Formats: sequence, C-alpha cells, structure tokens
Amino acid sequence: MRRELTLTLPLDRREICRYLGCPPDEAASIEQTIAQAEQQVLQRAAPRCTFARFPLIRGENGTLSFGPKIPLEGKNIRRHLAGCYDLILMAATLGTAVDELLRRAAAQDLARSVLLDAVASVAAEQAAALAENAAARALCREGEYHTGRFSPGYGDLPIELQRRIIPLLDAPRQIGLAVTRSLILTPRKSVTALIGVADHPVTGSLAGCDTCLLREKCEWRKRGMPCGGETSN
Amino acid sequence: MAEKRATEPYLILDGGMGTMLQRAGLGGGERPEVLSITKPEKITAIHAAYLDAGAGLVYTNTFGANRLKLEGCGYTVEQVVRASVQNARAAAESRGGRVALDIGPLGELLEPAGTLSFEEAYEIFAEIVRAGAAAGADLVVIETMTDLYEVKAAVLAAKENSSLPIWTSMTFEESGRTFTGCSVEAMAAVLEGLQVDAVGINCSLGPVEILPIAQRLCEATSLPVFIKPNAGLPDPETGNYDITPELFCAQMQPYLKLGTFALGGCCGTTPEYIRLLADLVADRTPPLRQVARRSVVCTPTLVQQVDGLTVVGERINPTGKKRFKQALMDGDMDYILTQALSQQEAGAQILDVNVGLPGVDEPSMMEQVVKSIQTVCDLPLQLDSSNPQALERGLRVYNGKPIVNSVNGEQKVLDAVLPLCRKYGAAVVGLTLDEKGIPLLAEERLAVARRIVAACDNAKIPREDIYIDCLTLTASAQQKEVAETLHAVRMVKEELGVRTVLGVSNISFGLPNRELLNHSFLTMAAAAGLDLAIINPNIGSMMDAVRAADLLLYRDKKAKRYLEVYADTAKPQPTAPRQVIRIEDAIYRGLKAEARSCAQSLLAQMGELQLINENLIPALDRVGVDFETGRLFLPQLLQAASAAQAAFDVVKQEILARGKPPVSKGKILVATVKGDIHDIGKNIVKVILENYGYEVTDLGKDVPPEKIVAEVEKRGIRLVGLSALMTTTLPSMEETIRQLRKARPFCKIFVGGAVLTPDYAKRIGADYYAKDAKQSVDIAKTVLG
Repeated sequence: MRRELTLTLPLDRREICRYLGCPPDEAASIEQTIAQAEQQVLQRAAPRCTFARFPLIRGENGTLSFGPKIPLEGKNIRRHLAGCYDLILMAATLGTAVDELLRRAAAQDLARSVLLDAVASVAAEQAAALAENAAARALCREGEYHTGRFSPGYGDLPIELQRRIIPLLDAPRQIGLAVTRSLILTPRKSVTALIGVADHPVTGSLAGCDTCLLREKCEWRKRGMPCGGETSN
Repeated sequence: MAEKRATEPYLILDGGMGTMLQRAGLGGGERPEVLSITKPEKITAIHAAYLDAGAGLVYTNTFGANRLKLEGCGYTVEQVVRASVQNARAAAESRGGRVALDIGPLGELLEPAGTLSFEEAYEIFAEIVRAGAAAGADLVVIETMTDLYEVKAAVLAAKENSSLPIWTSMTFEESGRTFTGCSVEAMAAVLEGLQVDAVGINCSLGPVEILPIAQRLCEATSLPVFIKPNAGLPDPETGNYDITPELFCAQMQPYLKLGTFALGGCCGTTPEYIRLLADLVADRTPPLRQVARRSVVCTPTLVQQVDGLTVVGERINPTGKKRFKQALMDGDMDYILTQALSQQEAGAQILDVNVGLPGVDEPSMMEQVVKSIQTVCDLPLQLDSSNPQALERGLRVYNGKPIVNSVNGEQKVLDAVLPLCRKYGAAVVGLTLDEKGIPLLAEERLAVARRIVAACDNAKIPREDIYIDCLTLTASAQQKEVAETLHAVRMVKEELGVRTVLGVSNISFGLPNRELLNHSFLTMAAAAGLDLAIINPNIGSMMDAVRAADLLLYRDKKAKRYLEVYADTAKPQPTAPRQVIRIEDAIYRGLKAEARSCAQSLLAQMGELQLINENLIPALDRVGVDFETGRLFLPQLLQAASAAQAAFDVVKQEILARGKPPVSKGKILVATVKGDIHDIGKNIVKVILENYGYEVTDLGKDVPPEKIVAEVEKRGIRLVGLSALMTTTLPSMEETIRQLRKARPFCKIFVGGAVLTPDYAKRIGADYYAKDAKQSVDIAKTVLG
C-alpha cells in the first residue's frame, strides 16, 4: 500500500543542529538560512511511503523471521519486537528532486550544500514518522498496539536487510525507491523501518550505544547526550 | 504511421501477469520469472487465457528477468528468457497472436541518483534482448519505466542487438510526471527521436487517472500510442484493485476518441477485463490523430519548445578563456558546472557545450562533461564539436533530446554527422558555408541552406529539428554583409520552414563597446525572426535585449516576464557605504563578496603567494582553532571556507591572466570510494585543502580503485585522501589502498568517514586517519610541507 505524505514546517531545529554538529542553541544564529533551506527542500520533496504487514515467525532459540523466511538477526531487534506477533515493513522517500537539489548545491556552495543536506535528512525523518503513523493507522486493527520504527543498520540489525525489504515492498515500483549493491538507499533521503504489532501496549526498545558502530568516536555520547535521548550508556 | 493504423482495427493487449500468478497461487517467494522454467504449463495457460479473451499480443513473463534481479535464483538470464518466450509461443502458435519480449526496470537507479552506470544498464538490457530475439520474440516491449535515461539504455540495447520492433511505455503519477520527474512530453520527444515503433503509458493508475496524461501523449507525438492502465487504484484497506471488469471497460470508453492503436490492462486486470475490452473495440477503428509538429529540445524534466527567440548560453567553450582552458586541462568539472549553473540562473534556456582544445581528448571529455552537467542542471544541451567521435560520445550518454552544432554544406560533413543526429534523435544546426567558404550574399547562403535541408530530408531528419545558422560576420571587417545575414535569416525561415540560429557576439569583434553592438544586433536579428540566439547570458544588457524583444514582438504577453524583472528598477537603489574590513575578518565571518574584493585590492600591493601565506592561511588557522575548541561550529567553518575560496578564485584568475605558474603547495587527490555516494565529508576536505594552497584533484564519488590508481600515476600524486561512509563500502576502501600500495608504494594515503576509526584505518593499510578537515590539513602539511 502506498501513500503520498505532506511535510509540515518548521522542521525540528534541534535535529538540524545535531546533523550539523552544533549545539541546539546555535540554530538561532543561522535561522534565516535554515528557513530558506527548508523552503527549498520542501519545494522539491515529493514524500511518499509504502508499507505491508507480515506475521513474525519465532523459531527455536528465540530466532525471528518474517515473510518469505527472511531472518531478523541481532539482539537489538529481538528486544525491540518482544511481545509482538506481527511486523509492519515501511519505506519512505523524499524523491529524486531533493537529491538533485543537493548535487546542485554541492557544485555551487559548500556551506549551503551541507546545510541543505542536514535539513533534507530531518525532512526524511519527518516523512518516516508520518509513514509510521499512516502504516499503523492502515494496518493495525482495533485493540492492537505497535512499537516505534527500527531501521536496518541501526544497532546490530544488519543493513543487508535493505536488499530484502525493498523488493518485498516492491518499493521501486510503488514509490521509486531502490537500493544499491552497496546497500545505500536511492533516492538518498529515504528511510526503511520495521514496526512491531502486539495485542498489548508495547514501546519497542532503542538500540542504545553499546551496539552502535559510531560508539568509539561519537561526540554526542562523549558529551553525555546520545541520540534518541538515551542516557544509560 | 498514425494514418496507416487508422484503417486497421484496434489491437488488444494482455492484462496483468502478476495478478494471474497470484490467482494461481504462485505469488510470493521465488522470482516470478523462474516459474517459466519450473511451471511452464501454468505460464502458458495464462498467456492462452489472454489470447482466448481476445488479446492479439502477449507480454512474456520476463519483467524482472535481468541479471541483477535473477542473481542467486539458480538460472541464467538466457535460460529464463528462452523458457519464457517459449511459453508464450506455445500459447500463441495455435491461437494466433504475437509475442512481445517484456523488459521491465532493472530495480536499481541509474547514475546520478543511483550507482548503476548507463553503460552497465545497456549491457544488462542487451543480454535480455539477445536472448529474447534468439528465442523468437516478435517485438520488444520496454515497460513500467520511470527513468528516461534507463529507457534510452534499453532502447539502444534493443536496437543494436536485434532488428525487432520496439515499443516503450512509462509509468506516470497523476501529476503527469514519473517518480524521476520525467514528463510525458519529454518521453515523447526522446522516443520519437530514437524512433521506437510505439509509445505508451502503463501501470500505477487506473483508466480515469491516466486519461488526461494519455491525451497529452497523443498530442505530443505522431508515433502510435498504446495504453495499459491498472484496474483502478489499490484499496487502502486491502491493497486489492478497486474496479470491476465492467467499470474498467466503461472507463476505457473515452480512450476510443484519442486515436491510440492498442489497449490492454496492467496490474489487477485479468482475462475477464480483456474480454470485455475486446468486445468494446470490436468493429471499431481508431480515429485519425492530427499532431502539430513542434521544434522541441529537452531533458527529462524540462521541455524547451523553440518558437522565436530562445537563449543558448555560450560560456561552456574554451575559446579565448584561459580559466576554462585550465579547467579542461585539469579535468576540473566543478568549474564547468559553475559555468553551467550561472548561465541557467541568468536566464539561459539551452547550453552550448564545446570542449575542443588541443591536448584534450575531446571525445572522452565530451562524454564526461555531458554526464557531469546533467547531474546538476536540467537545461537541454547543444553539443558543439566538429569531431564526429566527440559528438557520438556526447549523444550516446545525453539524457534527453539535444541539438548538434554543427554541420555545413560540405558533403563529407553532412555524411559524417547527419546519421548520428538521426540515430540518436538530435536536432541539428546547419551553417550556411561550404568548401568555398562563407558566401557573401543572402541568396547564396539560402542556396547552401537548401542543400543542407535537402540532405536532412534524405537522412530523415524532420524540418522542425533543423536550425540554420546564417552566420554572423564581424561588422568591423564586413560591415556591408551584416544586412545580408539578417536578410538570409528571413528568407531561410520563409522558404524552408526551418528554425534559425546565430552566434551573436561575433558581430562586434575588433570594435570597442562590444556590448552595445552585441545587444543591438541581437534585437535586429530577433525582429528578422531569429530563434536560437547564442549569447553570454551573464551580461545584463544581452538579457535586457532578449526581454525587450520578447515584449516588443508580442511573445511576452501582457509584459508579464518583463514586469517581473523590471518593475522595481525605477526606484533608486540606496547605496550602503561600504565598510572597510580586513580580509582576515571577512574570511572569519564568512563574507564572500568582501573576501573577494579584499583579495583584489591586496593583490595590487603584494604577490599571490604572499597573500596566501600572510593573510589567507592565518585567517583559516584562526577559524580552525576556534572550531577545534568549540567556539565555532561546522556552518561557520564552511562559510569561512567559502569566503576563502572566493578570495582564492581571485588569486587563480590573476595568475592565469598574467601567465604565471600556479600556486601549489603540492598535489592531493581525493575521492569517495567505489560503491559509496556520500561525498559531503570529502567535499569539505577538498575545499579546506584548497584554501591552504594545495592543488586538489577531486575524482568525485563512487570511484573505482583502478581509476584512482590511474589518476595518481598520471598526475604524479603523493598524497591521496579516501572517504567512505558505510560499513559496506569499507572493503572497497581497503581494495583501493591495496591497489595503490602495489602501483605506487611511496604514495601516502589518509582516510576518513563516519564508521572509520584510527584502528580500522591502520588495519586496512592507510597511513593516516583524519577525523575532520582540519586534521587533513595537518596531514597534508606533514606529507607535502
């Protein structure tokens, strides 16, 4: 199933600052350029999503799989989907015109291109959040609950999963989203994710820092403010 | 073609294959194309059901039968395609009906959105075509496409690897554009140029939603048109298609007025739909279509109709431009791209691309420049070369319908270039000169134009794709002949019914106040009926003349565009007193214009190297230190870098203008490794290194190891910076380092990227790990001084 999405401004300034590597209060000093970049991204974005629901298959030793026997590896996703019996796969993209805007900016002005990239990333996150809501509304029945979204490559969930999710959702045909052989989603500003479905309230579980690839060098973790608002690590 | 079809009855096409597979309980799991081998009788039964329902043509079960999608399925492309064609043949033999080799999208995006190259895509399609032709398909149908570039690769592959007819259909959203922004008019222009046998629309929408897009297609092309809609839209609850066969047919009724020669169904349609559709069109013939012939050039997203004054930007051309020559010698694509974009912003509607320069491999440069420009700029291009190989390389990879500049009245030039224009569907510029030179009189130029047009007629290039250049002579040398040029423009248009083109700037060569003569001549030529004006759009008075002529010739209705630009010019512009600012502060505060003007005035007092060492670098060091200590952040750092870059450009121009050797503290090559397309970090490193006076060659993103090694060898580079953002592209970084070590053991390598660590950098054999751009500079200082 596919949907067109509508982004709303303003985008989250805090998140834009995080992508730019500056403290949240720095946004005020560049507010004008952020607002301009936001307009440009919004003008070109054609946000769309597609989603589908599958039963989760729990094997021996706690292994998880879904659909045509696609395994879900890693302890983070197992924790995230604890108590769930079904799985929603979703994919959302801003479309190719945003990529073109970014390439164009990169050829003209480095500072603007980096800012636009950060803004587009936050716009893609908003599209993913909208897609998550749309998927839950369309695919969860009365009395069902769902977790937040969890993406391949996050925590210890293998990014190789992209190669299975994209064809399963028929994403190239549905929303023009494909994946390269190096597992990069194209168009670039796109998100795929898994959402667990249960018959009782579930929250899912963020991966946290202990399985994060960037653990060693993450500036945010060093400053005690890791992403996702988690502070336990 | 349309007229011939009009006397024939409608051709009925088949309906959905996937829908029928699901119905037969064969959906999900393995690749559906493999069923042609494992369950041939089921596939043949589906084809038979469609033929029995009245289809005269069936698509083979090969939608995804390409080597990317079949990987790991246990069968080769050749095996799957052969079996699929045989299945369809088996059903068609006894029932009558033709078999179309079905080719769907590859499932990966082509460059620049993805990493699949045009040439690779061509090879993958060629493999399918060869197998399908050998197995006995009657024609090739390329369908459900959303990227016109992918379509072009597929069409060329089909043409060059078989003699089968080619049909092509694309999939549109309700906006009338595909996911990649391609409009139905752009599709029509390009596919008509490539001379496919039929064009169409299929999938994504139902008959109601496709109808207005189908109308537009029928108005945009004289090729036969076919339509295969879905069975309505998918139900938001169940995902099933929402219209019945009866409703489908009712909604197909309006199509009978359009003049399409064939109709069928796509997702959600079954033999029941096709049977009713066949009943609907029985005993009817499609009405004749009247298609207006228009002069059009395009990219997928921008269709430029040429009818009266149209601006062709002339700046992508090395003639008389030292900086541009240098960029070509260095392979500096960034500079060429800024030339393209600044002309677009100034109002160019088409860009002339000339990269001919002694010492530059023109064919390969043409290909590279065309590919680069179309990644950032959607203006149609005019490929400008006298070298047929360069033209062909450019035409082949061009994504859209271009113009070729140029042929002339010489038979051998016509013989060499017109077949290329015909093959790739390009419009062509014909210069009114020949072996004997440029004729003086308008009549004589008209005579040459007649010969060129006749040759185009013979080569089957339509009149609307011919642009005759009556040649601007310099007023200083041939004052009397200026009027002959204008006269010839009028005569050529009237007698031959073709478009005209002039390179305007030549008029003023050798005279003072060239601008005045250029825009005056432009206005006169516009009045004479000039269509393409090749000018420098960055000069204000030229675009002023264009806008004035558009208004005066009643092309800019109600002076809309004119008012947009000039409504405010009457008001006096307050001139703010310019503050005196030091270059160091201009850079620190990221003020580009100020940094540029400071550099200009400082160069009057000091040498280039002194300016860099005593002003630019200390300013950047201050920015760097404040960045490291958290007083400045990335946005400010980058603005400072951009300002320094502006100052540096002034230095570069000065050096070139005086013919001095370039300032270089050493050569560095940077690249994002094969498979990776995240290049922001690499771009930052590049600009900061350049700020410090290093000569940086940027190979871009997704760069194969072999290319990096070759460039390092060619340029004698001693320091290489590699970036990769993904864990999945780190092996590619490792491989690049391995190949560099083998070929250039003394070359130093630094690496960076989100998932890299100092330990990992060491493990894959890099000399240095750079955590940010500042560290890259420190590394460069250590290695190169």
